[in-house]
Amino acid sequence: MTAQNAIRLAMTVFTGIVLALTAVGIRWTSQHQPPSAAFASALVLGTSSAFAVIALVIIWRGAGPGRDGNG
Amino acid sequence: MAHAAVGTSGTFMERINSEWHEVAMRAFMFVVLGHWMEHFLQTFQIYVLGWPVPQAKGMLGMVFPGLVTSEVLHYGYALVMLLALWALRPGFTGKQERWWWTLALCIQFFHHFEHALLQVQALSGHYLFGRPVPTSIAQLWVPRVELHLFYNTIVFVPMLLGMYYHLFPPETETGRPQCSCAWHSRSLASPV
Repeated sequence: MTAQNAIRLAMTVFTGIVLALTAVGIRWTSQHQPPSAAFASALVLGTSSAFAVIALVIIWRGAGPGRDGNG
Repeated sequence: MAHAAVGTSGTFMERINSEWHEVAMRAFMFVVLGHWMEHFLQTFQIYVLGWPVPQAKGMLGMVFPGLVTSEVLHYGYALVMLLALWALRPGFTGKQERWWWTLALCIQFFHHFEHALLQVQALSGHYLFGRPVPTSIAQLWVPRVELHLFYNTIVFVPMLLGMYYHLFPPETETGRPQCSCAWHSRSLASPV
């Protein structure tokens, strides 16, 4: 495994934890918070998930080393 | 030469963005990831283990409960984050890496402002919006645990992308690195 893929994998594990927690968070808040607070929580947790997905897409879509690297 | 622009002299700010950048970034990440672990554990205690919110204090908070309720500590961390994002930014010389790092800095600025509001209320004893406890602007709508998870994520994701491009700059990147962070620089320089 290349160093780049190792870093990608570590970042993926991290964002995976964020995604998992936000998913259970949306479910939990819908059951334990008043509707208005639950909606706001779902909105911010959903946005957090979107950020995590964006990060995954960007780091895995390619773009190898530049500058002095060998590509 | 792999470590082309790494200097050995200059002011503290110059050195922390050149020869010390890699070490400084690692130390910063250690602190940030430690903070993340606390939030991960706290949300796990609430969402998965079903603990009441006031009792979900993460790991350190179980040993030192005052840490969770201390506005000084929360504000201090927000300030450290802001200062580190600002101080380490010049070391991000590539276009993409700097863009993402700067985005994280901008979001953290507002996050810090929210904590400053809480800190002023905690110190003065006068709480805004007629609330019985210190309350930030976003807390008018969003409960605190979820809000913190949100702020930490939207600050950390751009940081993560900035660091990724800093470690593995794309071929189109023309900015000259001043530090030894880039992965290929390290491998090229090592006499393996």
